Amino acid sequence: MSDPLSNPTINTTNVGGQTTTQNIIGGIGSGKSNSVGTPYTTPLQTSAHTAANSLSATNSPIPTHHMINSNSSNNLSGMATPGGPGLQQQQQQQQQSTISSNNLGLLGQQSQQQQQTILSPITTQPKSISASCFEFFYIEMIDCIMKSSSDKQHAHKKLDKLGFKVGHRLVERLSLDTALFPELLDSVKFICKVFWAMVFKKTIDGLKTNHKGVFVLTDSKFQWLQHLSFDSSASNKDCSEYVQFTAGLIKGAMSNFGFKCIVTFDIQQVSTCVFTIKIES
Amino acid sequence: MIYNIYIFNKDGTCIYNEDWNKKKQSQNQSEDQKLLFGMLYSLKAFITSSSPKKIDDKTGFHCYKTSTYKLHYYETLSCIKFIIMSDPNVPDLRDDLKKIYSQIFVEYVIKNPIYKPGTTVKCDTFINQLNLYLKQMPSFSS
Repeated sequence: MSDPLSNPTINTTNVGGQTTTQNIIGGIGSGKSNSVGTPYTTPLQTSAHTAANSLSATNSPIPTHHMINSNSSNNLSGMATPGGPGLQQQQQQQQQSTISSNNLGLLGQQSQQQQQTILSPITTQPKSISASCFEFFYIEMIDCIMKSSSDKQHAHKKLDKLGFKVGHRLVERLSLDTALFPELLDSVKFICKVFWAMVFKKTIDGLKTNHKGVFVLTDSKFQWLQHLSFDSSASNKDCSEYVQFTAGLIKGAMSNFGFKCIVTFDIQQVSTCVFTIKIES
Repeated sequence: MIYNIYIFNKDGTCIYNEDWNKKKQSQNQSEDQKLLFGMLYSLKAFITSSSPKKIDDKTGFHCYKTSTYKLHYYETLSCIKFIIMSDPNVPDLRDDLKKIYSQIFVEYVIKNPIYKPGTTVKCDTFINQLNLYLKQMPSFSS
């Protein structure tokens, strides 16, 4: 661990030297009104933790390496240990295979030890990824999609599809240890709190429902519109393409919970976004 | 008293300038900008070459003063140049220029998805924030 690159923590740094430390786990754990219900908070915390680990594992070369090691060690020791004396007789007949499997077994043991010594500090540290980097990537993604599609509608459809896929997968990851939701409202609340906190470092500011399958989610400080501003003289002040992806995210998340829905959104004033979820029966 | 601000990008084009409290209006803005950039360019080169010790050409020069005004200069690692002209009595503005860069320029111009790199800055959040920042400074209008 003498190599500075191997430090698993990646602090969020904004480009201008301004540093914001964010603690994703803390953000979720300290959710103000616990509308999801007490029994859910603890499992949600742990699920968020594992998700955070998996996110950072792709960022730092060292943890990934050990993740692979630990996986392979499990597989290898799985192969080597259950054999016992019975297997060894077979292996004596085929000398080559004995050597190789013994080696594999050793490898497995070694990497298991490594895993215990090296992975333990990694799992205890909170992790984060660079928000600036993600935002720049997001800008380029939108730019790329807008350029590659013939008209705006087509581009929006693409973004929506992308968001759907990401949301669908993300929710799978986030709800790993969560108990089943008894009601539709709980799934929406999950999106408002856990899902939103994971993606935007904050929870939804307002949730309204008519109890007939329509939910109105208000985010009064939508992260991806924070830095956006137009020329005061510009005629076209449309920035819906920067929000469409999020509508897709919600749709994907809801569909994974088993609800087909239509998500529309509206951008109000400065960076306030209102999402309307309409459940299709 | 602060008179004006210029922001030059890497290629020497002025991407933003604004005037305050000025009595005499300039005749030709773009000519002024070119002259200023050229002057700073050669001044910096001269300062670096004439220095007895080795100096970093990004930090070697940070202000000069005449009887009527003072020029404050800050250059980022990415070669964006921030220039403020003020009254000769205004204290050092290096920290303010740095803040303008890191907290206003980066946040509202570089991170603005609408902004095309290298073009003139017209984003209204940036202009508002910059004005807000400069106008709360004690030396802005005194």
